[in-house]
Amino acid sequence: MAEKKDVSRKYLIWQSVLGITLLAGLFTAYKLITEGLGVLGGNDIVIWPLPIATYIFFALTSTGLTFVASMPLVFGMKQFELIAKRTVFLGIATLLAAFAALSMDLGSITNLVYFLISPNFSSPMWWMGAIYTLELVMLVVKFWRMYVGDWHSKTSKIIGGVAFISAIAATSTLGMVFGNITARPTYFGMFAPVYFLATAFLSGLALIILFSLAYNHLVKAGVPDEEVLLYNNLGKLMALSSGIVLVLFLIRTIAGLANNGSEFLAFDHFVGSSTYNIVLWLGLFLPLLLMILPKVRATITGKAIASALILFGLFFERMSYVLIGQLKPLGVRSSGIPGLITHSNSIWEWLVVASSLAFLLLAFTLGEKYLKLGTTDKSV
Amino acid sequence: MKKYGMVIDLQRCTGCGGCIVACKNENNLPEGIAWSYKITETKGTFPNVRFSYIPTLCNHCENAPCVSGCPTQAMYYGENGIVMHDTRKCIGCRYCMARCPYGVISFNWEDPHQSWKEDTALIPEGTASPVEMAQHVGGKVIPYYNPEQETKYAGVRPRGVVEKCNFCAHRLDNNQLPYCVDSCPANARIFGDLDDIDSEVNEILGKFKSTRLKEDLGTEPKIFYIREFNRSTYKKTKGGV
Repeated sequence: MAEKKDVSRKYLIWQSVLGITLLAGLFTAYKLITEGLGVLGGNDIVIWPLPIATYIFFALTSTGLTFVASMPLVFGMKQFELIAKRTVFLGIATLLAAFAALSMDLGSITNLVYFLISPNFSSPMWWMGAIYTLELVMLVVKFWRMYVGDWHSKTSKIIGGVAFISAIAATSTLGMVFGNITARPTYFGMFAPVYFLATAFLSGLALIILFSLAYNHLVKAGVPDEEVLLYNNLGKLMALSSGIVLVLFLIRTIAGLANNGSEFLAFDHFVGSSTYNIVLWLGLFLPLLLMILPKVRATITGKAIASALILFGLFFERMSYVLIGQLKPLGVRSSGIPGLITHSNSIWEWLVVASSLAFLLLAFTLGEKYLKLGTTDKSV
Repeated sequence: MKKYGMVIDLQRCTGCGGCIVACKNENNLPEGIAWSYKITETKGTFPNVRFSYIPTLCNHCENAPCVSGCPTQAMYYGENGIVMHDTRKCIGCRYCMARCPYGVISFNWEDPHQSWKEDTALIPEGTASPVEMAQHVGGKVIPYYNPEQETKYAGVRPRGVVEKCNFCAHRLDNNQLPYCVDSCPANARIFGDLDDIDSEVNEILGKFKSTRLKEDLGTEPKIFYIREFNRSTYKKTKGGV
């Protein structure tokens, strides 16, 4: 009885923390609406502060989750069905968190209607918005079908397939949004969509492993025996994925250092910086090391630490990716600024990050409580 | 349909900033925003040192990255090849700013012209407050508000949208030159139709070697720069519409 009371007290504290963080996010939104985006600390050189990196982080994680969910739902890998429902739900929640962060970075949200009535089909940003919206709708419909027990009917499979394809297309166009900026070569052109796809899978994989293990540890007695093999295989997949991303990250490093263009000045400063080391060593190398050691990979703690490090590292990677392209002023903005400018994230920027994360965590908490995310019930 | 462009003669330009001030007045620009500006470069080493100037404004590119990138067509090709902006359609995503290689698009991070909304007089009972002055002369937001600008663009662009030069499209409609051209005391800016082989801009472009900013990007800017302290000359002119 006393133990039950203790659990409900912890649950209450957890929800209160998330609620307070969300309220802080709402206050940030109020500040942005009433005072403008200047509150975030951006300017005409650093035009995209931290909320855009937050958007990319969550949007790509959502893509990764959709990829993971597609393994059982599109490609019939039944072993992964145990986490499929949770993965789809988290795909929705992370995408909504991404949209929340993005909406806080739009200057005139009331004009968004022109996104529908005045589309520009040559704009990668328009395609990105349209395809991500399609992906969101498909994920919601797929989750609904799964919730009512229809996992593998023809219609349900088609919906899952469309969600999978739209996830690939949305991520590629998000990469094109940056890669197509010819004036900013540090976004690495056509390499960006490939890089985004690979890192998206890694972040989605890490998130589902971390959240599932956390749920099993905190709410249940531990990982059920029938799921142990599943998580071990996910760990192997995470090792492979982090290895691929590590190689791509190093290719990006070498290509950036080899380029003598003045636009790469910020990139040169980035390599070797504390942020770079966080991404390389903490976010990629250490998790890879943990996951290729069979004894560590077999442990819950090892997998949880590795996935948490990957998410932590990839967030800093998104942040630095967006910022590096902006620290060297372009054109007339460089007048009087021969080198780079500096940018420190404001408290409001961090509140956007915190509130988006709080939204995701609250959605996950409520989802686990009311929507039975761990079940594979196929009553239909 | 014409194709308007501009030649800037760097030999005539003294870097006085007259174009910058004129543009701000004509287009009701808020503090911190300049559609017309200049890149100032320091050349040489003291004591043999000098400044050189490159006046800048929207290049009204034929392959404008801002137009192709804008998700809502808020940036668009207007009449006579001018790259226009519609504040009503602008969602403030700032993708145009990210794509513009020239840094000539500005964002309204806060309410424009805030200093003119203050009701505190510099000298209490001695001078009018900024807001009183604006109200007294009937200006919208600012005392020197130019209503003519409204015929082609929002008179004052609101918080949360970008803004940029439009070659003073409202003046062109009245067969007037862009105000930066008109007000240049050194006649360093020559404006005209690039498709008219007899226009003064084409005559000058045929006579002098010209450069454009970041031509390698393929944006096809319509601002041309000629000369830099060479001894060639030509008849003084402002070109024509």
